Amino acid sequence: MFKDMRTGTKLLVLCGTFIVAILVPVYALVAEKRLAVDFARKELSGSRYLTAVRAAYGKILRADGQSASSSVVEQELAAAESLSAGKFQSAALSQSLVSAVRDLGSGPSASAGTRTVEALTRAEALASRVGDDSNLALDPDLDSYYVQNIVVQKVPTFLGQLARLQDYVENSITSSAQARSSSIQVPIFAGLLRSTSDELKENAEAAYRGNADGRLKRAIEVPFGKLISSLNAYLGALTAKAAGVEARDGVPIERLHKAAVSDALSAWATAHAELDRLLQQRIGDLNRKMLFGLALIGLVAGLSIFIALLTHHHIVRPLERLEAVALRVREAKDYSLRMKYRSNDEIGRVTAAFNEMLAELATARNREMAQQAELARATRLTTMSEMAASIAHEVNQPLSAIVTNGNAGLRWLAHATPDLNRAQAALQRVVREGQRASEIVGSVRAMFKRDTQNRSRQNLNVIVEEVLRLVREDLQSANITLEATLDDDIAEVLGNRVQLQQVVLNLITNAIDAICAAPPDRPRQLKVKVLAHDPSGVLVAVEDSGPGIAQQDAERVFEPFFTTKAGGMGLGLSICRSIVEAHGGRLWASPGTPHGTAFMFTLPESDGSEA
Amino acid sequence: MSDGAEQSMVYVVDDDASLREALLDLFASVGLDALAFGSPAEFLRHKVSETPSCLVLDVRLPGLSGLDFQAELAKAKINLPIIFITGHGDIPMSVRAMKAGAVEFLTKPFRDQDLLDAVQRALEQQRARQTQQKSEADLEARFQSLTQREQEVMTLVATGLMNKQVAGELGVSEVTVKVHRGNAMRKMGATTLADLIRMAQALNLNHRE
Repeated sequence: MFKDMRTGTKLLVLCGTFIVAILVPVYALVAEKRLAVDFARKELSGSRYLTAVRAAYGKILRADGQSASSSVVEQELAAAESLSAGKFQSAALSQSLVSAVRDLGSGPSASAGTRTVEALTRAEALASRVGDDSNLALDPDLDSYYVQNIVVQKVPTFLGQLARLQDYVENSITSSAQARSSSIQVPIFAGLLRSTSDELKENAEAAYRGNADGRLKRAIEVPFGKLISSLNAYLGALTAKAAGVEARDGVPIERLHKAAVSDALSAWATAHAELDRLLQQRIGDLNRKMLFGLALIGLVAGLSIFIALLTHHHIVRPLERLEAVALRVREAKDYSLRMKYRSNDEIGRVTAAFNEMLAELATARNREMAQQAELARATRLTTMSEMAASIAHEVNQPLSAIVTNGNAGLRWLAHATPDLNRAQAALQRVVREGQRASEIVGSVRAMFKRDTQNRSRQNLNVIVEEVLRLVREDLQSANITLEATLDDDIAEVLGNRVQLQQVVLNLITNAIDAICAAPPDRPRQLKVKVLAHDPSGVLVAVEDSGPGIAQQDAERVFEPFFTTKAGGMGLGLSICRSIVEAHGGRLWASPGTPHGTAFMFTLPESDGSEA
Repeated sequence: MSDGAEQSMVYVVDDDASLREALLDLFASVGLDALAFGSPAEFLRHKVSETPSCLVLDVRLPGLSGLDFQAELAKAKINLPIIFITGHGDIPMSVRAMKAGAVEFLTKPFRDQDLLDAVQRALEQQRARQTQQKSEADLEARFQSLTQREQEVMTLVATGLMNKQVAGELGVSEVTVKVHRGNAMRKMGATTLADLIRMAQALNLNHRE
């Protein structure tokens, strides 16, 4: 099946297969990148949720100065929860945080610190859950992983510890029972805070290492530095207070705590912004890589299609042209056609060989035609010499008789007593033979000169019918269907019956030969028509379903010694034309419908006078 | 021409009636008996005369060419001298005809004297052949009248053997050989030994079985 396809189709199939082969990696590439992008987007949505959590921290720690109303925080948390659409399993935690925030302002002020710590614990749990379920905790990149760890866990932990320490400090002032233990508890809380701040520092260092462009470091180094120093100031003051040194430089512990919280919140906000930036940057990178990959594949595919087109142009097109030229040569028998294509590839060589073959064919055909012409000349000469011999013999016969009779007569007269009677008889025979010789010469002349004698009124219907009767058996044995159309209203013509019969017979015999030479699948049909011809006269048409005559041969078939038949002498049509023209008519050939050839001749109407 | 020519006969075979008529008249004008036929078949239906005769034959004949007809006559052992006449003779054709024993090959129109000379020559030839045939037949008849022993003796003598040698060959006495030899010479009509030897040669005795 593939073998029988046109070469262009084969090339198309090849191209199609190639394009399918390219589409598979394209799909894999897109799917992989989409997966990574979706992962990063989920992280980003978690980060957005954390913004609301961060706002809740601001509210809880009253660090934003005037403190937004708890309803704003509630709204933000609710909006974040609805945006996450339950992806993070955070609804319950969010709800408990909201109720804790509501409780902040109510109740006795002595337990305010405890409520704050409780709210912070719940906020921390929510942040941790969001971090776990939004892929943030699984972040694949070094820089963003450590930044998310800072944002999601370390800073909330830090703030929680800071709040617990402050709560303890405030309570220990009011409760003397707890004052004694403060000397132990404070260093423990301070140690935890320092450890957390060390972790913050370590994470930040690790994140810097993962961020080659240093932008991250520039953004968060300063706020976190400030955080550490304000923490140190706060813890320093606490230590001093525990040792009995009261506010050496006059700054109260409460304010130092507030400064530390404020610095932590602002460092947190900065880190959070950087996290968003890193995530956005990752998504952008992924999209860029995908586009680059697609562009590369597209380029390769385009190049391949271009090469396929080139192949089509350099292989298929020349092959098609070669085919077209071969077809034209076969149909028109025009061996002067050449295929124009220059290349050193196989097709170029095939083309050159094809052209050479055509040239050789043309030479062979010319040679063959020359031989045919030579043969025709030889045949003509033979015919003429045979004809001359035949005429000579015909004339010689009476001449011999004349000479012999003359001699006999002379001998009768030479006798001692001349036999006059016998001599007279001999002389009479001489005269008779002389006349006979003269008749022979006359008939020879008549053979060469057009015979305008012996013409009488003829009905061409009758002549055609007679000829058709003659060829009926030939038609049957050659299995040819005859379609004869005679017109009863035709005029009579003046002509030599035998000669006109010869013309019709010759045309029909030629037609039968032509039909027998036609391809076997064609209908074998002979059409003979006799009809009135405008303005006055008769037209006879003999149409065959044979192979037809090449355009350039349409007139040559009437030349003497031109033939398209293997055993033909090439005289028939030439003689036919002579006869028809001697009768004042015309004989010509035209292509048949749908194929074959139609020979037609016209004869003028008889004017009533007989020659 | 009247010297014994009355017995002779000229046959003409030509498909042209006018020429046949003219030829018959020509032969008549010189006193030759002649018969004409339009085709070889017609001629063959006629019994050929015992008298000296010849055939004037046209090369171009309907059905069978004159040359082929010549070959057929030879095959049928009809010994008749032939004079060919033709409208368009060529050299190969005439060579073939002459090799096959034709007397003359004349191209139409021919001179009457040439034809008549050829006819005379043919008749002479035929006459001589007939005479020779007759004498050969006589000789053969005489030879056959000898006894077996006389024929043997004559054959051996003709080879040049002496009576004594012949007697030795045949195992008989010399006297017997002399008697047989005398009888043979008498019966053969030979007056001398030379005569007998010539007769033996004519009979081709040396090469007989």
